[in-house]
Amino acid sequence: MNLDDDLRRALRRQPAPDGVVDKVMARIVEEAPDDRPSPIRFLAVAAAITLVVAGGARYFQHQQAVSEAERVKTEIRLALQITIEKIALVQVRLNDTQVPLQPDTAFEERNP
Amino acid sequence: MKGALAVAEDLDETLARAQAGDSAAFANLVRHHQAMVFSLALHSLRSRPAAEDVAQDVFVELYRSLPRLESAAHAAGWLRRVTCHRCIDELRRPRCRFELATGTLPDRAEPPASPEPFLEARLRELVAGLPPVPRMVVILRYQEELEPSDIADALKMSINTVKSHLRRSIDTLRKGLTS
Repeated sequence: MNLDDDLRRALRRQPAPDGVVDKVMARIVEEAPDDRPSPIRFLAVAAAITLVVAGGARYFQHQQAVSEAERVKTEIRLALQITIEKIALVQVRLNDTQVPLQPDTAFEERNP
Repeated sequence: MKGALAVAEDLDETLARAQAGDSAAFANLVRHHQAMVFSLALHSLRSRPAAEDVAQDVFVELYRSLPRLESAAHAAGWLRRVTCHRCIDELRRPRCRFELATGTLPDRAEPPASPEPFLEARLRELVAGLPPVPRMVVILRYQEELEPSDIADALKMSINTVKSHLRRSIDTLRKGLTS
């Protein structure tokens, strides 16, 4: 008994069952990606583009409003600063003109 | 030898045509390799339906991998390697559905091909009792007549590991036959 030869005989190649080739080819055709765009995919892509464009426009509007508000805020702050400076200047002038009345001691001495 | 060279050149040409999108050429490749792939799966899984499933999966995978194949010899080695790994994965699954006692019974239409059908059936049964990796090593050695270096290449292991698996498996088979 030669075990090597017995094993070669026991494990010799067996013919494949009929139809393997056809089944493989059918599966390949079945699994092949379809090149034509499907309506659902088209709609999904269109919806995604619309969402992105609408979202972008909304974001742009929001950014515009924010920058406008910033500009107005800066202008108001500047105006207030100018006003405060003017008021301070007026106050200084008023202080300068309001010389306190000193009692005229000479007059009082002449006219007791 | 000259005939084998011509077949190899033909297969290279067939592969090139298949890579260019010729489905008839790919069908010829499947036809040429189907016995090898199916037998590797059949001897390891011991179930004709399971072996056919694996063979189909492997050929579909081959179709996807066509652009990466460099030659017909490369394609044959690729098929051998992928089939072995698929079979080992199947055998390692907790619930292996392929261990059927009648799995390797020949079709009724086939005439008895061996003078010792019982010995062969017993040997196949003993081979099927080996753990997944040594089982594939034995099948590659005796079905495909591969050298240990080729088996090592196919199963991504060292030659010494292959030789060790072969030695221990032969011992196990010999003991199984005598017991």
